[in-house]
Amino acid sequence: MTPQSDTSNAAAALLAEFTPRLYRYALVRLGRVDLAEDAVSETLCRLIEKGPGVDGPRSHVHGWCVRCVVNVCREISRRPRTQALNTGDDACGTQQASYRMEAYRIERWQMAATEHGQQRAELVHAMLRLSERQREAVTLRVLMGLSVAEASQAMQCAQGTVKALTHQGLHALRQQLPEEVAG
Amino acid sequence: MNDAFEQLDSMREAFDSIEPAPHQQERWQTDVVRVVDVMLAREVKEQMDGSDPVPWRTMWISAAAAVLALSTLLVNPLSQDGLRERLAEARSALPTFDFLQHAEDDTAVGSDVAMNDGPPAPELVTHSESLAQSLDALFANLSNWQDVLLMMH
Repeated sequence: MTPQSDTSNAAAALLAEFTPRLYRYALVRLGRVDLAEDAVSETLCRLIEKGPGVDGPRSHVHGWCVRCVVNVCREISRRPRTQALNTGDDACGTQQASYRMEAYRIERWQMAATEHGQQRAELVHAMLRLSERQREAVTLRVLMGLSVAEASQAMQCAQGTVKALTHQGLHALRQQLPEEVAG
Repeated sequence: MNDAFEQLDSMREAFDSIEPAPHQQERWQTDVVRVVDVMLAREVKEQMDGSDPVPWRTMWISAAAAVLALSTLLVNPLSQDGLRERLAEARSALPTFDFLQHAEDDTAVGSDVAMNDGPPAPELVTHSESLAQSLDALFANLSNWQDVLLMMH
């Protein structure tokens, strides 16, 4: 076995382990399958660019990747193109309209075709009604199970801020979830 | 209060059931593995040219170490049996030490790496021994998986 194939296998194992987790965060954070896929791809590119143990992650690769995907999602949500897509601006042209249609098709498949599809769709839609910061905090703390310290590192803010945002986000969710998710 | 907990459980259940589309997961795997291959090939070539003194083997070892860290840190929650199994997988994914015994790579080209029998570079031996010792220590301390996770940090 060559070192290349060793590394390839290592990289494949690495991806199989953590990409679904990053994808879940990105989907709930951004609310769209296509954007979530972009976010994970960008995170993987940055991981490869930095390389484990050099400028990138050292012992805690997962923490590094979560922090990275949080940043990437923030960057994506600030892009003018994303804002145009989110507002359904038809001026973005045929190519983007086609892209949007494909994203919608995949999203419907992702959300509804399987056992928990309806629950997933309702979760994502409920989360989208929170502010971006509340969504980050609730996703990291409640859905992904990170500690306050880990979430504060990922969000690059004080631990008290994480606690407050989580509390506010959960309070807001409880106003809208009874008939949507728990029902 | 019970309703609130049930809501959170439902949310977590819905969240955990989210998976990337299979074709997308496959694309990530293929693309990243291809990129890693290209990077390795480039590093080998640069070493051959003498234009870059960075040891490409370090990257390879780091990738294996990253798999080990991920294997142990990403599974949540992780039972003791699960950890033991994953550590065994991680250990078996590190055949790198054999290679390091033959790690004079001046004649390496692309994916066809010729291995001479010269001594490995001292820093690589130290690195590999350190990794091996860490793994052995992990295996020896599996009585409490939380301790093992702390060691990984």
